[in-house]
Amino acid sequence: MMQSSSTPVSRQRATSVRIALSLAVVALASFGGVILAEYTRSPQIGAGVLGLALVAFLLVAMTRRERG
Amino acid sequence: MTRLGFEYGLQYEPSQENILTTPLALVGDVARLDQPTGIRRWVTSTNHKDIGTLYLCFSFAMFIVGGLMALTIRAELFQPGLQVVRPELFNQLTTMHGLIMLLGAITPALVGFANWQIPMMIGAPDMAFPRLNNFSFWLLPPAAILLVASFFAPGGATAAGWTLYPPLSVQMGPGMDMAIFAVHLLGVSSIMGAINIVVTILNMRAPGMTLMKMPIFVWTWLVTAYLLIAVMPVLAGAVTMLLTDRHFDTHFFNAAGGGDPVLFQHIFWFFGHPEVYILIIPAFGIISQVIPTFARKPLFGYRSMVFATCAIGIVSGTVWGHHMFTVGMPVAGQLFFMYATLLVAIPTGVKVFNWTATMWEGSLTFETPMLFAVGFLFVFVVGGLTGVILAIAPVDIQMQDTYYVVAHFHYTLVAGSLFAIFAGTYYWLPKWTGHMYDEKLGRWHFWLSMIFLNLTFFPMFFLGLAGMPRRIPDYPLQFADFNMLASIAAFGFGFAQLLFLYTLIKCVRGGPKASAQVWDGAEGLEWTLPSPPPHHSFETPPVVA
Repeated sequence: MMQSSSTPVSRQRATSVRIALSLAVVALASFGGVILAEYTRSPQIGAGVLGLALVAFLLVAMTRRERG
Repeated sequence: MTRLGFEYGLQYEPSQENILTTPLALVGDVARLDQPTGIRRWVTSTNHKDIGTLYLCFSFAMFIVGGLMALTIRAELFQPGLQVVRPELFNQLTTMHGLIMLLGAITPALVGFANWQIPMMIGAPDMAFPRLNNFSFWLLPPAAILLVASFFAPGGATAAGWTLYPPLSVQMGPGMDMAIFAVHLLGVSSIMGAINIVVTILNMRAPGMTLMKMPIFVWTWLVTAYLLIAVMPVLAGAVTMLLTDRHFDTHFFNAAGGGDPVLFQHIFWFFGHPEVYILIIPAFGIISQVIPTFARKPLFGYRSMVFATCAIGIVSGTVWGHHMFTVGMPVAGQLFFMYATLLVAIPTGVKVFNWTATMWEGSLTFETPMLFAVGFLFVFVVGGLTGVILAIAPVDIQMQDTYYVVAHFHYTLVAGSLFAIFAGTYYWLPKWTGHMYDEKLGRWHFWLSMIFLNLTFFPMFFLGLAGMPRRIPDYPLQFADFNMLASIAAFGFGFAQLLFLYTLIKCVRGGPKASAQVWDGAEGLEWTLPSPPPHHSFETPPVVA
């Protein structure tokens, strides 16, 4: 069985980057989604962006490092 | 075992493994030898305390700039007729005063508090992304320069109001483009800062510090950071569409091309109203730290405070339409936004109740931070209650764009956010500088601010009720007396802030040495660190039991 070579510090760093990227996706999707929804006059795109943001927020909540 | 506080018996055990006092101070001092000094320290710093200081200094500078604009506005309104500035410049001043105070002064001040306090309060060595933190700050000065420099652009600064409504904002000169670019920079800075704060809080807490053991200030910033990530991109999208309408022949908001100016209002206020809560929720956090310290009691109803904070954050995203009751909204829409807005009063009321209950039968003392916190309670409630009045659609239609609205939001943002910032500054200044501030000057600052704040803004309720519209440089004679009073008091309020600046400088330069604990009723990890704290706050994470 292979042992993980990652240290607690690198694991924490990776988790931090993962959370940050998820949040950045939320921000970018909101920015692009608002413009796209208005450009296409499509409420579906608006709802889709909102859904993506909610899923990303949930991902952040679920993937954060569990603490003792 | 030393009990450090919080409401749930959070305990910290200083052991050899997680020692926080002298050895850490030594480590910090040794580490400091490797740090750049002088201007390089401030430009290249990735230390949360240095960046916090930069944010606070920047926000104070912008507070002075925005304040000078406010005083020019009040000088013009001292009496009827046009005396001091041209009407075009008056409109530019009201626009820039709003943008600078909201995005350049209050928000960065609260981010400065977050930078200084969050790592120390959760037992982290620094923010999760220190370089990103540095970059977030250094986007602010170019944005500020763009805003101020836009006065010298052809046609002057934007005069569309801080809300940047089209069609005015589509028609204005290059000053508007500078403002749009500044808003983009401020937005990017806020989003990066918010991501950093969320990650720090979720991922960098000391072992044992569960979410429900976090200090309320940290909780309020977690909710605020989520709000920022949710709404700042929407503002960026709105101003980007304005930009393309102005230069790339799109017609998002241009009615002549099939666009809809009201659409901008919806998008803007989807950002704009949560922005108000972005400015007040961290202020609630500061007050929730100060009152228990000087009441020498744990905060009453910690859990309800957390849930109230989350509730305010969530509901704030559903109330934007109350800024638009007069644009021709269907009755069902008016009712929805009216009820949703009234709903905000419930969690806010929970907070006010809990602060009052914390003081009940406490061993109260009234040092300057507590004076500002109690002052906040009195005057913020005035702002909150007038907000409830304005939430009622039929009333709002009468009050729309009158000085009643001006008085209301200055009572929430000056008496609310700014008073909390003053309370927090006096509360943590000894920790930050290692010196006690001059208590006598602090009290003078409080009483002068309190008196002049009310003399400036309370008459505006009467002016608004009498029908005086906002954003006008001239007015009928019937409004002269209250305007004269407000103008004189505004200069008094400005003078009081010079006293604040003097008190700050005096404290930074010297004064009685502050102990690590500073206030005998203070509880939390930050008070286990020496005053001032070492360069790296917690190199070994403290264990919270």
